[in-house]
Amino acid sequence: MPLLEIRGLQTWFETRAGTVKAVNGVDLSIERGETVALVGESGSGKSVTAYSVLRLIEAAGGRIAGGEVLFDGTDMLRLDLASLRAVRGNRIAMIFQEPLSALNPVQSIGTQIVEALRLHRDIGLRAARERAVELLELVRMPSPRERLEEYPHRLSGGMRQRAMIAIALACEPDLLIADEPTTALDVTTQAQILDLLRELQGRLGMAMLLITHDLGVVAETADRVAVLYAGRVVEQGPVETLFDAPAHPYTRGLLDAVRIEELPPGSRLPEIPGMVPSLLALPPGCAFAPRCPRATPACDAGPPAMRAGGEGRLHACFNPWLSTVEGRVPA
Amino acid sequence: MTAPLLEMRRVVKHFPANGGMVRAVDDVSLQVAPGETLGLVGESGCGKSTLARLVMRLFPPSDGSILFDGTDLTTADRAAVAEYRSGLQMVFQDPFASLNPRETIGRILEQPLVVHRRGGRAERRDRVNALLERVGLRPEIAARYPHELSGGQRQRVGIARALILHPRMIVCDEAVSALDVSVRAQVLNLLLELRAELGLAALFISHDLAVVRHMSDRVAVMYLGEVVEQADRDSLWDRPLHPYTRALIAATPSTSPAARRRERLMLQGDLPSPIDPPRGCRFHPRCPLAQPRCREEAPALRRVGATEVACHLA
Amino acid sequence: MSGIALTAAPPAASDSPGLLRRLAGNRSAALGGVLLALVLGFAVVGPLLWPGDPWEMVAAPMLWPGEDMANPLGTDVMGRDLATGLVSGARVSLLIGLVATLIAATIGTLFGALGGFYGGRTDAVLMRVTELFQTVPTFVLAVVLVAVFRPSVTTAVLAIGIVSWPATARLVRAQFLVLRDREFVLAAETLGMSTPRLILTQILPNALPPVIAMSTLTIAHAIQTEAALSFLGLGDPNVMSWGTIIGGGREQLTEAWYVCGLPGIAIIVTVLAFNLLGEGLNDALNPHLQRR
Ligand SMILES: Nc1ncnc2c1ncn2[C@@H]1O[C@H](COP(=O)(O)OP(=O)(O)OP(=O)(O)O)[C@@H](O)[C@H]1O
Ligand SMILES: Nc1ncnc2c1ncn2[C@@H]1O[C@H](COP(=O)(O)OP(=O)(O)OP(=O)(O)O)[C@@H](O)[C@H]1O
Ligand SMILES: [Mg+2]
Ligand SMILES: [Mg+2]
Repeated sequence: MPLLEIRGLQTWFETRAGTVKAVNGVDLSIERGETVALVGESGSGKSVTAYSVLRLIEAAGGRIAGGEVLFDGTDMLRLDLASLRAVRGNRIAMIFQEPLSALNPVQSIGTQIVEALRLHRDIGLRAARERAVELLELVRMPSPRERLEEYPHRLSGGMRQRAMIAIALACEPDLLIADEPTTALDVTTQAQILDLLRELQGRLGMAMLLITHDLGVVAETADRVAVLYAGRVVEQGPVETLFDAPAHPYTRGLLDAVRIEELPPGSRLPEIPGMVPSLLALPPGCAFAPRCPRATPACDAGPPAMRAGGEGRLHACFNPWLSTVEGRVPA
Repeated sequence: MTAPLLEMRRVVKHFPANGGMVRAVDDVSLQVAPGETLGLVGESGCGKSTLARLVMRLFPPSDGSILFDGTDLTTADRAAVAEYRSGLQMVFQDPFASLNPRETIGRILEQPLVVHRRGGRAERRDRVNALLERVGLRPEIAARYPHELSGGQRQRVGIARALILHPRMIVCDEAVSALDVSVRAQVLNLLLELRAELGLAALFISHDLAVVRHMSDRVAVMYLGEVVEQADRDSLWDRPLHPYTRALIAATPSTSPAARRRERLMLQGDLPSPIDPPRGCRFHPRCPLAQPRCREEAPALRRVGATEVACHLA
Repeated sequence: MSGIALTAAPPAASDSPGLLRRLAGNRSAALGGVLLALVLGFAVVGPLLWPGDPWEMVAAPMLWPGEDMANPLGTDVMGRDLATGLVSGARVSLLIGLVATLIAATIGTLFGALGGFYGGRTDAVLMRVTELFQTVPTFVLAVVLVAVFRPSVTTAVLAIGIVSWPATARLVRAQFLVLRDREFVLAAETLGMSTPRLILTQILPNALPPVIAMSTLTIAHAIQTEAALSFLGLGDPNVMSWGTIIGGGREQLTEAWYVCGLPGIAIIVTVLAFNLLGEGLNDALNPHLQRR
C-alpha cells in the first residue's frame, strides 16, 4: 500500500468571476521512502494539490469538490479536526513556497521551531530549544544559536527558507511536502539541503513530494516525476526515462525551454507559445491542445485518458511522442 | 565611458544584532551604466538583498553615498527622491509579502500610475492589461487578491508592477525564482526586449548562475558583505580570478536534467558569521589556496586585466 | 501544527464575502448579532408603539408591568411610562455608545498611527501622553470631565470618548510597528507614494480589523459608563436614559424592583450583545484563528 495515494482529486475556488478549477482530477501515489517530483507550469495546481493533502484548502477559501486522499490508509478528507491536527506537522510536514509569508512575523524563529516541536512531542522547553539549535545547524544556518532570537524579516531570503525547512523537519515526518524548498538558496547550500533530505529519507524512510521548477534538482533527487498541466497530471513516470524521452508535447516543450546555457547569452530564449487556458472555462478536450504543435481535431473533442506507455510510464495524450521511433536524442 | 546611471561609493550597512553588528554590506562600490545589466551573485546571506534595499533607499546607508543619475540620494530632498523613485523600481525576493493583501491585482498594478498621475482611467486599465499579458497572465487575474494566485503568478505581478512606470532601471532580487522554465523564458525575453527597445538598465540578483550569465553584461561577486570580484560576463566565466568565484562557477549545476547527475565541485565549510568576520581575507578559512598573508592582511580590490579582484594571489 | 501552518495558507482577505459567512458560523458572533438586532429593533420600532414624551406623567405611579395594558411595562415612581422611557434609553445609549466610540477610535488611531509609523521621538511623546491618560482611572476622569462642563449628552459623549482612546492607540501602534516593516509597505514606498497615502491606503486597512473588533467592546464600555454617569445624576437632565431610570428608581428598589430591573436588563443585554460581537469579530478577523 502506498504511503500517500491521491485519487481523482478536484479542488475548486469560488470567485466573483466563477469557479476556478485549480485541481481537476489529479491521481498520484507515493511509496514510503520514495521521492516524487511534481512539475508543471506556474499556476498549474501544484501548491493547491499540496494544500489539499493537508486540508489547508478551506482556510485558503477553496473546497475539495471530489476525490480521495489516502494517507497510510486513512482518508484525509474524512478525518475529524483533532485527528487531522495530529497528522499535520507531525506525520506530514510542509515546506511552504514563500517563506516570508509562511513564517509568523511577530515570533522569533526559535520560538516557532520550539512551538512546532512541543506541539507533537512531549519535550521540555529547554530540551526543545537545544533541539532547535541542532535543527538550524542541520539546515546549515550560519551561527544558529544567535539566530534563534531573530525575527523572520531580519533574515536573508535563504536563511528564512532554511528556518522553514527546520520547522518542517522538527518532528521527523513520514511524508515531507516540499514546495519549492530551494529557490532562495545558493548552489552550495542547495546541494547540502538536498543531501540532508536524502539522508533523512535513508534513515527514517521519509517519503517526499517535491514541487519544483528546477528540472536539474528533479533529475538529481526524484525517483518519479509527475507533470501537471491546468490541474491535471498529463504525464508521469521514472525520472530517467521520462526526461530522456518525454511522451507528452507539454513535457517536451518544457525540456526544450530549459536549455538556457546552450544558447548565446542575451539571445531570445525558447518558450512554449501561447498561454494556459482560463481555469474558469477549461476547454472540453485536452487543455494543452490550443498550444500543442501536434494537436488534431480529435484533441478538442474530449479529454485524453491516462494511458500506459510501458516501463511505468503514463501519459494523457492522443498523439504522444513515441519513444522508440521519435525519441529525443539524449543531450 | 558614459556617466553611470547608478553609482554606489563605499557603501556600508550595519545592522545591530544581539552580540554585535551584522556587517551586511561592507564598503561596496558599484556602478551601472545606462542600459547595462549588472549581475550580482554570492552565497545566501552575503548581503545582496540589503544592497538592493540600499539602492531603493528603503533604509539609509551607515556610510558612503549612492548616486542615481548624478543625484546623491542620501542628501537629496523629497522631490528629487520622488522623481528618482519612478525611474528606479524593484522586484522583491518574496512576492507574496510584497503585495498588499487587501488590494486586488488590478489595483496594485494601477497604483504606481495613479501615484505618478499617468494617464486616465481607461488608459491605465489598458496599460495594466497589456502588461499582464506580456508577463503571461490572463486579464481575469486583475480582479483577484494576492492570496488567490499561485506563487509564480504573484511573482509576475511583482515584475509587472516594477515595469509599469517604464523605469530607467530595475532591481531584480531573485525575480524569476518561482517561475517554470517556459514562463521564465517569457519574462526574461520581455526584459531583454525592454533593454533593447528602451535601454532598461538592471541590477540582476540571482542564485541561478545560468540565468545571470544569460542576462548580464557585467557581473559582481559578493562574499560576506564585500565585492570580491567584478568583471564583464565573458571574462568572469572564462577566467575567474578569485578562488571564491572559481568555486562558485565550478559548483554550478547544469540546468539540463540529462547532464545533472555528474559530480560537481563543492565549496567546503560554511559562510562565516557576518557579526564576527574572519580577519584578513574573509574567504581565507575556506580558501584552498590560502597563504599566511591571507590570514593577516585584507586584500583590496584591484584591477587585473579587465577584472577587478580582491585577492592577494590573483 | 505550528505557527507556520496556521499563518501559511494564504490569509483569506477579511473584506471578502467569506467574512459574513465566518461570522455567522461563529457562535458568539451570531448570538451577539441576534441580541443587537433585538435592541436595535426596539430602538427603531419602539417610538411607533409607545410614542410620546418619556418625562410625561401618564398614569398612576408604580404600576407593575402587565397591571394596566396601556402601560405594558408599568410606570415609575412619578407615574411615567416605563416602556417609553426604555425606548428613549435605548436610543440614547446606542447613540452615545457609537459616537463616543467613534471619537475614541479616531483619537486612538491618530495617536497610534503617528507613533507607530514615525517611531523615535514622536512615538515617545505620544506614548507618554497615552500613558498619562491610562494611569488615571477612566470613570473618575469621566465624572470629573462631566462635572466640570455641565452635564449634557455632548459632554457625556466627549468625556467617554476621551477616556476610551488610549487602548485603541496602543493597539494601532502595535499594528503599525509590525506593518511598517512589511515588504508590501516598502514596495509601496519604492513607488514614490506620499506618507499620508502610504498610511491611509497601505497600512491602515491592514491595521483596522482588530481595531474594529475592539471598538465593539469600547461601545459596550461606553454604554456602561453612560449609565453610571446618569445614575449618579451626571447625565443630561433633558434626556431619559437607562441610567436615569435606574437612578430614579433606586429608592423604591424593594417595593418596585422592576423600575431598576428592566433598564438593568436592557443594559446587560446590550453590553452582552456588543461583547459577543466583538469577540466573534476578533476571531473572524484574526487570520491565526481562522483555521480552527
Ligand atoms: N484562493 C484562490 N482563489 C482562486 N484561485 C486560486 C486560489 N488559489 C489558487 N488559485 C488558482 O489556482 C491555480 C493553481 O494554483 P497553485 O498555487 O496550485 O499553482 P502552482 O502550480 O503552485 O504554481 P506556481 O508554480 O506558480 O506556484 C492558479 O491558477 C491560481 O490562480
Ligand atoms: N533588517 C535587518 N536587520 C538585521 N539584520 C539584517 C536585516 N536585513 C538583513 N540582515 C542580515 O544581513 C545579512 C545579509 O542579508 P541579505 O538579505 O542581504 O542576504 P542575501 O545576500 O540577500 O541572501 P539570500 O540570498 O539568502 O537572500 C544577513 O546576515 C541578515 O541576517
Ligand atoms: Mg506554487
Ligand atoms: Mg536576498
